[in-house]
Amino acid sequence: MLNDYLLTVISNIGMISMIAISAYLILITGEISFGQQAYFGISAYAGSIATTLWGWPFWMALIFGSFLAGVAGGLISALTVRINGIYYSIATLAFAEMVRLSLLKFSYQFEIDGEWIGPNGSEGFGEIRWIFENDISILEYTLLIYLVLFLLIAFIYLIEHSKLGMIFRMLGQDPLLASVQGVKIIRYKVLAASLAGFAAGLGGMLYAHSFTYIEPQIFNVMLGVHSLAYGLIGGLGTVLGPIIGVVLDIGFLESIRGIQGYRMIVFGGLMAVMLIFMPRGILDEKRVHRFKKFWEGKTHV
Amino acid sequence: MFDLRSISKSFGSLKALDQLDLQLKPKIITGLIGPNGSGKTTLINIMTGIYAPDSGSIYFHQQNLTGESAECFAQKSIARTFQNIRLFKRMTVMENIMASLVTKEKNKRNNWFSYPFTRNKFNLNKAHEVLEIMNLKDQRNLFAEELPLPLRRKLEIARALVAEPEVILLDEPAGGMTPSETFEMAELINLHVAPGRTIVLIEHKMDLISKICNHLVVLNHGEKIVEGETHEVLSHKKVLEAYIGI
Ligand SMILES: Nc1ncnc2c1ncn2[C@@H]1O[C@H](COP(=O)(O)OP(=O)(O)OP(=O)(O)O)[C@@H](O)[C@H]1O
Ligand SMILES: [Mg+2]
Repeated sequence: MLNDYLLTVISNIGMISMIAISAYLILITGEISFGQQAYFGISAYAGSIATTLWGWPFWMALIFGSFLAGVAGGLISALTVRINGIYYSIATLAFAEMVRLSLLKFSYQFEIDGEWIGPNGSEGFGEIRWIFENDISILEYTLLIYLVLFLLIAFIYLIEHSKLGMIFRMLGQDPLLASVQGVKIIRYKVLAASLAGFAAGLGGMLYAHSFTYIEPQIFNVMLGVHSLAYGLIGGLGTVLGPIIGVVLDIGFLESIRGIQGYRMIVFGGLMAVMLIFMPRGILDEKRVHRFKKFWEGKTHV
Repeated sequence: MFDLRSISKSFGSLKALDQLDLQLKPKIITGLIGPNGSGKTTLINIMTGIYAPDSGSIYFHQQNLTGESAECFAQKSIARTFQNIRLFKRMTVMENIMASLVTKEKNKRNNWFSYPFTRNKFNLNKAHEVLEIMNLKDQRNLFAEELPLPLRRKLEIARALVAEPEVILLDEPAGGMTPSETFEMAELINLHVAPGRTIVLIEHKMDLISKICNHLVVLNHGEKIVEGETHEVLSHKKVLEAYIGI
């Protein structure tokens, strides 16, 4: 029943959810990033180099790639912390394009068993063979993706209910008011961006090992735009919002045979309708609050 | 205690404040009046670190705060409200109040491990207390943007109160209110905001000023023209000229 096609769709949902969560983290702190694909890409490359060329264990490579992406996210945020709105968005896009163009020039190959392996500019980076070498089935890899996704969601959920989550939302809604209440804005903006870089990094590294081949073209602006749209459609009131967006797009639109090829049009249309009628998505702050109150009412009886 | 010395602030060619001196008297309500555009809000913005003065210096308990950030002023226990109400619109009334406690590290129980933050018992108790005294209890689960104006102004004050600040700067707390709402606000300030605190109150409504301010400062064109006891100042010739009209 769970055929390979279905498993691929399900694992795609899992991996893309991580970059959607990344874009969501920036959205709730009040900025729009068109550049989260850069962190997805940085970790895809770094993590794959670690497993394939350096022979690192998978989990170490996953943490390494994502950590690097997190550091990059924090650095870019520290550099752009004084710019807001559209200028911030353009800066993030410019950085992501810089990363993509650098990857087109980036070559780092080792000879392994008589074959040259490693990233080679526009030819990409193939033979990321960790899955085959370790005899991991598609089902097992899908489960691994969902384990990581579950841990990420749990982590973000804990943050959202902590002081830090409150601070992120304060920044997102009125940074001046937040600073008048003693919040050190720059510190927390950089922290949010690092977390976002890390989350996208998890997705990117897993993605590279799932497809065994990556090229710079994958990490273009469309990936970033989609990740943004997922949060905006699914809702900005909870970390589950962006995941709903991903499921709607990849799980639903992509699987309806009749609209293949029109998917982007339907998706764009859906996006436009949402922005008019539900500007903060399906699970916006109000719905999440009502749901919580409803739930509390039920459990208290 | 709060000492402003020779503060000037210009916006382009417009002098919003011109060499202004002000010493706040502790535990007293100082009224701040003046015609539109005379620099009252600008003064409060400078007293909360939102703007740095072009020249002059700011001392708080003998500590030089000139040029410090808004975060720094907030941590010195200076709270304020806004003439154009500022609330976290997509948070509930309760969350807006809790947000005010996010940087208050005074008590050990309010640390990173008190979890979840919005259920922290110690903070919740404080929040319920201010909701009670500001009559906002029934609205605590409404979103800030759903509140009518008088309640929004009350929420701004509740938010300031919960942080237990030493100084509260109120920028037209009864702005846009009806006479009966204004009366209620005056009562609330007298009963719950003022006791034990140093307050600056900007207001255009003279009845409110005369009802709750002991001390009065009058600004005109960014300069302090008169300062003294409320009833004396209100009958001062210069004030009548500048404020009430020709
Ligand atoms: N950020 C700013 N940029 C430019 N001009 C400003 C700025 N803030 C205040 N001003 C100007 O400075 C002058 C003083 O403004 P301020 O808001 O302090 O007056 P006010 O006494 O509070 O007036 P009101 O009673 O109308 O609230 C006004 O002429 C105003 O237009
Ligand atoms: Mg004003």
